[in-house]
Amino acid sequence: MTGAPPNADPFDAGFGAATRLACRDCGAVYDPALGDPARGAPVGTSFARLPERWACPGCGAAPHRFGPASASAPEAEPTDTLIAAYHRVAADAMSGVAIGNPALSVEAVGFRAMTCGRVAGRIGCVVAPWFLNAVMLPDDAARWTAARDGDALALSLPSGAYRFNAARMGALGTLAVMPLVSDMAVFATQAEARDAATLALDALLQTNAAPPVETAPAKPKSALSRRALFGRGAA
Amino acid sequence: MPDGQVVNDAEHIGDLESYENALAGLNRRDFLAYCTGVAATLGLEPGFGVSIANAAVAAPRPTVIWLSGQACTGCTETLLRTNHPTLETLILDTISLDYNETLMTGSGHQAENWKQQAMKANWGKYLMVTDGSVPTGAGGNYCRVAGKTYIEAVKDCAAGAAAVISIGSCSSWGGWVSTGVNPTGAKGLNEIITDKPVVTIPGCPPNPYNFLSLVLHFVTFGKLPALDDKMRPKFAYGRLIHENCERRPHFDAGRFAMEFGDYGHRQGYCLYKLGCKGPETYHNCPSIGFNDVGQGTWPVGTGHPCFGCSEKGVGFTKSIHELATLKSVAPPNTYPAVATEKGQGMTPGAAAVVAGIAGAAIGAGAVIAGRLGKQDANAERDAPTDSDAK
Repeated sequence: MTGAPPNADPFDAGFGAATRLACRDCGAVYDPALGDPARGAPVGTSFARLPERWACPGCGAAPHRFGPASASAPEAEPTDTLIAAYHRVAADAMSGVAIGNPALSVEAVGFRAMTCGRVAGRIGCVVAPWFLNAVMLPDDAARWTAARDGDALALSLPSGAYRFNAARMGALGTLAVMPLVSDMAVFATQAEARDAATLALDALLQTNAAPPVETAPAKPKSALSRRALFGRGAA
Repeated sequence: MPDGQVVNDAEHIGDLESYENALAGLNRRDFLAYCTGVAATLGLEPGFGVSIANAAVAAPRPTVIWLSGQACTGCTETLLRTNHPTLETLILDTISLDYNETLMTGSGHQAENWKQQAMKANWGKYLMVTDGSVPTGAGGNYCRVAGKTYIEAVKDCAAGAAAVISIGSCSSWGGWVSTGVNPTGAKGLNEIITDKPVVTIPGCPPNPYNFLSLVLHFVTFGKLPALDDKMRPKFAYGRLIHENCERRPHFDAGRFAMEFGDYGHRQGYCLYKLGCKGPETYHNCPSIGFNDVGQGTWPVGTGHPCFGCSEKGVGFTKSIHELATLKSVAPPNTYPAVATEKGQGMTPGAAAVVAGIAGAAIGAGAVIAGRLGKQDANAERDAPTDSDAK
């Protein structure tokens, strides 16, 4: 890292131009200063800009197996990492881009645990100067590893089925993202954007009374034993 | 259903035998699959595919009279390249294309007589379709067909039309011939035909699938689908390209192609900084692609920025690599019910959020309307497409 005191910078999932990451499986370190020319990443490529099919040079693990290279860094919540990543994007790639609303800042709104069909994870909204998106962070970070950026992912929410897009977010792996608002100039203040995000989540996650929509219960997932698999009455 | 799909009851399904060999020899399965696909494009629930199927086999084929003004014939060319259905299917089985200068066999007096006959025989019932802009300069003399100026021709034809459809940007708002110095005084059809609504399918070329869906909607329900303030069908022009774009995740993550052929361009990053007009252009190109050859067959999919061909004031007006600004979804396009339920005025932000949600919903028009606006429920039954959901 660039001389930042440990823990002063939250982990940004590899969006920083100099953020070094280490593979949790084999310990291989990715350093943007060196790049990975053999796998198509020129010198100076940040982790979040690695090619789509890039995998750990040491063990072939997918990018979501990578974490902070400094051993002292604590394990961060994925939501915090996501917000840190967008903060980094706001400061670097999106700075000076005229399309955003400078009155706004990056903020996570209303993230909660949710099971959408067969996908368990955390769903919420992210407000940034250049978008307001609904985001689904799967509990299983490998859930959409095979998806490419922009692939359509249909997710069942209580209010209906929606088209999300697969979005690779560095060491967070591949998330499901749904653009809700593009013209952020409609919001005068951060509070307005936050209210809109809350409204959006309410609308997306409210269950219709009739017909009753089956909300998949978030029952504790017991390890699938052979007995549980074959025995009908097993818990 | 948990996935939000609402399926129509089976009672709508007509005589299955009549579907066999429909649309010039499709088998029953392909025919129903095609009609369901049209329903999805129109933003209807899948069950409406059956209604469309019934109408397509039962309704008398509507007469279509197609006039061409200052056009490059690209709109006809794009129609020639449709596969669902193929053009011959369309003009032999779905509609009766009685006059089209590019496709008809007859010429001269024969063609003109046929047009007059078709108009007379179907007065008040035919569909009028035009491509190409209307030249108004020099008394309209830049374009004369059969001794009449094009202005006169469209006025005569529109007088007896049940519906008027502008296909392509030229006919919709003037297109490229109307930009710059505009020596011929080119205008869109809706500036000439002012006494009846002119539905527009802008695009250069427009997507034939949107045109076919519009026609089939007309055939099925006997009226036009929900339109926006520019008279474009909402099923096709309800959402920004920016919001449908497969490269959107790159934009969100600040990953931009900075020049053609650089690392980011080769990685398929966002083309905004190369001048992509996706943020100010309403179209469904990313969702349906062109020419039935699969995902990614549209300009951005091939690595070129969208230049906003369908949007007046953007396509052919702004320079190709000029940066785009963002457009909001106008509040009238959105559901009013949310804000009233919340007991507050509809702020532009709330309107934008609701429009965004509606735009991302999958084939669940009824579901969305039922959720967000109870009073839409009755309207939903009468007019299945008067919802904004896609």
